Amino acid sequence: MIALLLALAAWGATPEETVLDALQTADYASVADDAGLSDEALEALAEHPDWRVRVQAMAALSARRDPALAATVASAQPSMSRAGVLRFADPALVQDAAVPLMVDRLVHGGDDAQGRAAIVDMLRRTRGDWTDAVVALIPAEPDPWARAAMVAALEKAPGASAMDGIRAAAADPAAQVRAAAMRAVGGRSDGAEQADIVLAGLSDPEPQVRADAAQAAGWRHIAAAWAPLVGLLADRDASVRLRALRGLQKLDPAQAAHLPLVDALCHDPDPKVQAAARSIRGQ
Amino acid sequence: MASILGLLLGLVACAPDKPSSGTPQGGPDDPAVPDELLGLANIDDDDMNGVIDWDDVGAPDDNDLFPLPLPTADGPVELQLTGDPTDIRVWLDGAVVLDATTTETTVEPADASSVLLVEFAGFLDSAAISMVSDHFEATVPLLSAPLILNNHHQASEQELAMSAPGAGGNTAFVTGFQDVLGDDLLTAPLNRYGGDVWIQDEIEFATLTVPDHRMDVVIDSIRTNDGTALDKFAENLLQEPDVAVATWGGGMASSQDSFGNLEVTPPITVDGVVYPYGRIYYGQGYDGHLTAKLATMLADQRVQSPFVVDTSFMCVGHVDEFMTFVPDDTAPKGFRLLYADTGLAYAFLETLDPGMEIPKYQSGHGYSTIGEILDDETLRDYNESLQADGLDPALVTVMQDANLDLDDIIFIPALFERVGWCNGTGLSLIPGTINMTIYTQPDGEVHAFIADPFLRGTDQGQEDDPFIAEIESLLPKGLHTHWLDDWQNYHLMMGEVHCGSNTRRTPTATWWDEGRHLLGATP
Repeated sequence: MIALLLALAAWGATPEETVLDALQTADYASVADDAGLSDEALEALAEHPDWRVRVQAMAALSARRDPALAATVASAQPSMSRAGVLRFADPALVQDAAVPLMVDRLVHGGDDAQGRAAIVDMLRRTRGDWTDAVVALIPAEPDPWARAAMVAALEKAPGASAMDGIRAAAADPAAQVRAAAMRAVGGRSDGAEQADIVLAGLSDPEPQVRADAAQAAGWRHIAAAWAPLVGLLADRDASVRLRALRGLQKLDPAQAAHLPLVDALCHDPDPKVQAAARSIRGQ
Repeated sequence: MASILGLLLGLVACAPDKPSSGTPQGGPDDPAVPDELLGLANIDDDDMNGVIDWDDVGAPDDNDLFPLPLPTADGPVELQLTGDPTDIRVWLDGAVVLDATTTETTVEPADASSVLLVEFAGFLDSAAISMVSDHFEATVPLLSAPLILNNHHQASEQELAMSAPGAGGNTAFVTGFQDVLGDDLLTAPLNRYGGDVWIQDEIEFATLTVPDHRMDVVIDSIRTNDGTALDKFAENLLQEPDVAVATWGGGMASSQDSFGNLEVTPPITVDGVVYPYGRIYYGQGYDGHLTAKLATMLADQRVQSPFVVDTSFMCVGHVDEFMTFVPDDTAPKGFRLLYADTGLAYAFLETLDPGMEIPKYQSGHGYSTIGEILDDETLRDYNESLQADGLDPALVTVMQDANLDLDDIIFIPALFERVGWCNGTGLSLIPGTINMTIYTQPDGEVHAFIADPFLRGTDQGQEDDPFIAEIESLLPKGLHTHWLDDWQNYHLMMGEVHCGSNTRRTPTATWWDEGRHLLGATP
């Protein structure tokens, strides 16, 4: 570490370079200390446009100010939830000061795919600065399930970059990630501004993606989705037909009730589709 | 073999309490031959040597062989086993005389008190044994008990929960049970079982009964099968003489193989058919179903004809997340179905001050006030969708298959959040009230252990919690409620009180009598 710092000093490393260097090690607090970065310098870097600088600076600050919290974050182990996936439950982790430390843990690795998803699941319950980091890390996440979990967290993520992450995820090779993108855009209050993502999802080859896109179209009142949704009433997959019905009902319940295809779906072999069609028809 | 002989005296009391009336032909000294011999599967391990007694032929201390008196005869008696002898053995004087490979034999009873002992391997094994001597001829049907799962109407005997004292532990949860149940609560240290608190999911209690004889069967789920977590809980803490542990199925488990997803209705009548021990129900999830071998075994028991409920809209996908049955003396059928209703939850929340702070929900779910929940349009859309296309259709199934009217149902406010990484399915936002544990005392007093909703400020107690007051006003008045803190170790880990506990109950099943009509044709 000393050799590295000497080298950095020799090169005239900037504070940004110093904290970015911390990305190479989990010992970010020492890097900041050894480089002589004051709290004020780190606070200034916490506003840096590059999320990597921000996160490392905030992590170094958190570790300095609350070493116990840093130790808690470093050692926290997720537990097996009833659904068979890992989850963090310690309320100490769900505080703003812990967010950069958890993001740092996500960046530096060491957790497996379930653990990484558990970190993101914990982050989504906070209001800290984690969106940019998660958006940046999604493409590098090798596990599709963990990638989908990261995309799901963007549904309520603060920050303008969240939609960039969702947009990228909508083109992911894995269907479960694309479906997560549809759910995320459908769940965001600004989702209607990204109608093209939803419209593309309505013609996805995978039924799960089409179904989630149909739901998003209804929830976000995307009027341009009307015709594709009518087309999906004849989809071969029952879950798509059901979500298309509900999407049309959300867009215009009166008009939906008079669609001939809705009438036909009153006799659909799938009981859920049949029940939904009948409720829309007012039967 | 000496131990088998020793059983002769001890087990005569276990003979079915039925007078001889089959087809005996003989003089006045002929023994009382029963109409039928009932037994139960010898699947426990009475000598605790690690081998179940059927496989441990002639196991010492075995008390699960059933006596059948031989006719009084001076000479030989011809015996014949008919029907399916695969899972039946017949013993005489410490030796097997009839089994799958030897279906006919002639024996010379040692004396007038000679008794055959009949051993069964499985459930509802049926065959017949004919006994012919110079002076006597009789045929006795043999039948072993069906496996019967418990329902909430049965008296409770013991509650189970995992215990983790200290910081971050579940002391409040355990104490909540202990204060009411005292020594009837059995706890096991969580740290010895890999932090797995889901004891409901690991085991299901069932019983085998014949008159004057009971064997408990602990169905051990395939959810753990590698020695980790709760895998060995049943073997370590429950297995003993007359308590068998058995697993059906194998391979990769789905969430639907957990036994929060395996429940039983109270006694019901459906389409004119009386189910005196209720009907089994379990959920079909979005990515799995109960392992076929177990599902088949349960269906094969006939007396609790299982039905399947769609649980694909829930992340964990268990039936206990949104429905349960509670005893209620004031109800038309003696019970009520408690069923989740999201519309009622919104109607209730809208009566509260939107500025009311709910700090637990900030760290757990990202909502700091009631208003934030109400203002979340996506959450509202989601709950409407879950109700319309998940809960309501599932209720139709339950009402049909359990023959319920609306009078039989109490709708309980419930709110769910969407779990993005779980295929967009649901999970309780307000701790699941319905996921409660019902403990029925022998005197009929019914206790309900329920997740504390914590819909209140930090400094307020349960007496100030408006959600508790609302639920109390809805539940049957005879129910004694206890609100347990399950927030950190259970609720945030996607389960509630029922998921983290399990209940042993007293069998009521006289299946040979009141359940006979469900068995169909037996020899």
